Amino acid sequence: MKKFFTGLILDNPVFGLFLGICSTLAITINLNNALGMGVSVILILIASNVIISAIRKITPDEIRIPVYIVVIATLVKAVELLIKAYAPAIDVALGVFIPLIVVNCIILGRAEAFASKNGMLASAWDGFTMGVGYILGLVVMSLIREILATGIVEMVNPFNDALIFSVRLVPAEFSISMFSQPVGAFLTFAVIAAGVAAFRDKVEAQTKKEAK
Amino acid sequence: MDKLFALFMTAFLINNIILTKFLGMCPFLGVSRQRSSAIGMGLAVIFVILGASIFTYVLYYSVLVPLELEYMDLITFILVIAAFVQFVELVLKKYSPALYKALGIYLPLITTNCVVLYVTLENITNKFDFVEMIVYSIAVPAGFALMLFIFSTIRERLDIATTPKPFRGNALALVLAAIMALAFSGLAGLV
Amino acid sequence: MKKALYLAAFLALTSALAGAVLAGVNSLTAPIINDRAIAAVKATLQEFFPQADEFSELDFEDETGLITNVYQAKDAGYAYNVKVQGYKDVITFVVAFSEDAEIVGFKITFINDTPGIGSRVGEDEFSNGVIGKGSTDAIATLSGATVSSSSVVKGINAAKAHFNAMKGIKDDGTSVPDPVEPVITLGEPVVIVSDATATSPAEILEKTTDGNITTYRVSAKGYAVLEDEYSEDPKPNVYVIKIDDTANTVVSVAYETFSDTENIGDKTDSETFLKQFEGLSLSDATASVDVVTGATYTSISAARALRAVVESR
Repeated sequence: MKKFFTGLILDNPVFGLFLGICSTLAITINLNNALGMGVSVILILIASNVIISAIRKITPDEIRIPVYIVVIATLVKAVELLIKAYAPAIDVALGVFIPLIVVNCIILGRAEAFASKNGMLASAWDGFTMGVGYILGLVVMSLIREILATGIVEMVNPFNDALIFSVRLVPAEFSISMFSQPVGAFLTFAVIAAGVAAFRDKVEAQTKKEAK
Repeated sequence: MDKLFALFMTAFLINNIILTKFLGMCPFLGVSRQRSSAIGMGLAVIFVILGASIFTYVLYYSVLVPLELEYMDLITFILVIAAFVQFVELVLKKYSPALYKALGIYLPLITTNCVVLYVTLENITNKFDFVEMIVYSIAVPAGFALMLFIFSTIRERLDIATTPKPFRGNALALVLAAIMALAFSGLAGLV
Repeated sequence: MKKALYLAAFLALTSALAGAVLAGVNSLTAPIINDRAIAAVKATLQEFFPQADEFSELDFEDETGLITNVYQAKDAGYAYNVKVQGYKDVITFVVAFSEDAEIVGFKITFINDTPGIGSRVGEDEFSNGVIGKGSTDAIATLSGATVSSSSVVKGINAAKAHFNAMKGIKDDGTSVPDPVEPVITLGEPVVIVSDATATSPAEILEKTTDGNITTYRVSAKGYAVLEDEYSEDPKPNVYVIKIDDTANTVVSVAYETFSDTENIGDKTDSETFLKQFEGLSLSDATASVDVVTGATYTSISAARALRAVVESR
């Protein structure tokens, strides 16, 4: 179990492997957007992993990348249309980043690295764990940015715009609006990435010691 | 002409794709370490985006719209981009093997470069006419190339300097990006 | 060759399958998406044209590229969806014209500019200067929010041009915008005869009596002279102060010459501020006026002018 959590941090697609950075920086302005994107990505990731795993034996090797891209693009477009119809608030918040999920390095990366070589169940699980790592990264970053920038954490139901909860954690006078800007995004990401790197060094030093 | 200039400056500098829209970060962090690969990558991206934009623009308006297949835009655009990158790869391999080798893995990665898909999609969303599309499709990757170049010059020095260990590499690049974003945000309201 | 054909066929088949799936999803979602788009606009249209019950979207030609949609409310008027580039991000708004060429509605639907500055175009301060104007009247920009407001004005003008062209109304462009009254809030009081006004006493330039009213022309140093290191030739403000001799009260205080900072100090040249002087008794040591927030120095300069008058009697 401890290994699972360590893996979640060290192999975290965003802060450990630096995949899918573009959307992370842009989306994490608040918790709602982060969750909207995270859930979309994990669903697409699992679905694409399963489908690509299912067709891996019949897909000719030379065109496997374009085929994977078509599969992913179809899933993304379908999700985009569904979001536009049933949860338009997310469409407005995430905007062009929904179609850009197609080029999210995580999805194509996992398809190529794992789903094309493993069974459907294993691929589904891989999609799930990578997706959870991704959501975790997004949530941590968005919480930091939202709390520092506005002092409030709130969640709105995207399907009917109803407020789920809104909690003020820091008084308004202390809010640093810089964190809702690009500057804050880059800085927060850098610090978290550095934290993960430091953690990795510690774990590596630990395993070296244990190996002796 | 005035409008086109404003469009160019906005896309190139003021709403710079890296510093304000965060797109193109993956190849950015990978390629911006050395000046030579940065220049090569920058030029390659401008060429790919301009070419892909023209193709996807024409495809959208002469095929997808008349056939009411607008929802196929994502699939067709990304396939066009992949094909175009493949084509550029073949051309480079034949006519400039040095550059081909220098770019290495990053050339095929241009396919998944968010900037390419972003520009092709924006051309449609913003309802640009042909000339505006051309201007935009040069301005955005030019902004990307500029940042790539600036970053590479700074990172070359950062790599030799003594920096905190956890920050070395990508984290430091992101701190650099933060400072540059701050500096460039002063350009807001220019045009 | 055979292999290449097989590859192409496989890819084509995959794409076709993908297309079929998407076509299915699209047919499911497209009507919902369309309805939502119209519903959002419909709500705004209904706001502007409460009596109308039929709305339709029109095809339009627009050279400026700023108009995104044109709607017609049957027998009531027209509404325009406009998108302009603001200071940091786009600004979208709806502007509605009635059949008699009057702007009956204006609403910002998206703005992301600096709160308290560019965002003012979304407030009554700006829309009060838009709603009620005719389709050939010019609209004033907001001082202190120039970029955002001039973009919005450009957008409104694009809508006006289309509307006028459609209706055959000629706009000769001679209309001059009414300047927007800046929002004035009053702050802390300053007692006329107090430490605050003790320094740099004002100078009475002229005194004339007419019946029981004495008029003083007073020169008082304001921000430009005392604080602004950058102005080239700073001059004091000149006030015209009328006193009722029998009642020993102030009749009025007005500006003859204003020399302080435009758009900041001149906020004191407003009824809200100057009216406070009316009726003040010169024998009342506690007489005071509230300064205009953001224009304290100039407000105190006016108080100094009155103090000079008080001390001269």
